[in-house]
Amino acid sequence: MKKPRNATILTALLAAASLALSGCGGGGSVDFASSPDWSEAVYNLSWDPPDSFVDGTPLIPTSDLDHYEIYLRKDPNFSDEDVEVAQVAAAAQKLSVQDFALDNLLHLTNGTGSYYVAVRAVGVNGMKSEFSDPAEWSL
Amino acid sequence: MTSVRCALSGVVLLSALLLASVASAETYQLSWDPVTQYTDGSAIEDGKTVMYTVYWTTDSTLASGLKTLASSITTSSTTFDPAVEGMTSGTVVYFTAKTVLSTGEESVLSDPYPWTVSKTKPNPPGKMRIKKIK
Repeated sequence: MKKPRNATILTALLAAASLALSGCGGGGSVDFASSPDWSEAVYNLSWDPPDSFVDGTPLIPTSDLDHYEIYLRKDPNFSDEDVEVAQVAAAAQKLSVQDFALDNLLHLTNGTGSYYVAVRAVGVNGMKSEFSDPAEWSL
Repeated sequence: MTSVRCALSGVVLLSALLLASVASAETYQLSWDPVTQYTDGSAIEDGKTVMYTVYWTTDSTLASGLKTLASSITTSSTTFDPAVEGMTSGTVVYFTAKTVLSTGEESVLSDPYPWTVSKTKPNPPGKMRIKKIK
């Protein structure tokens, strides 16, 4: 079984991420001078792509999905008010993309504590899925 | 009952202006121009209530499979949920409507209005996991 390619970041919405985090108690600013050494840690987020639409129609991720949206919060209470911090193409070279290097988001954290990550699938018709179950990211 | 006379002119417009637009994530609105005249151009008399019965089918000829979307409504629009109506995502369905007056006269069916049933939203990704590699 082939391993899916690592996710390609299409857009890192850094300003939006800072806004989102500051709005949920995460603190918008990061003190880089006191940040830990992240050079050794590699955090990888992965998920199973959906295989159906909510009406039960089968879904083919490589053709029916456009991209995934990555969300980050200090708590697991994701809502439609949240703004994605990154987008990942749903397919690369005809292969399903289903992981993302969280290291790309480290600069949005304080480097310690717990964060929560959720993903939404966005169809080629523009319809967004609900949030995935949040995954706890312990730094 | 004279059905021919009540093949209202507005029904012709209906086929051109029947619109399906997203009212919410899963609900769509179908709308049309209100009918105010008979086919001969004369105005529908005051005191007569103009109503519409709306159907959908997968048969482009409208000859079979008509399912009622709304019955005898007085508004010139209606909302629907494709999943609730049993429409299959990605397929083409055809809307049609007829005008019904409170006095019983009815128009013929409007020309079919084709619409591709939008696929609903995807289910969310599952089995989220985070792995620290180093």
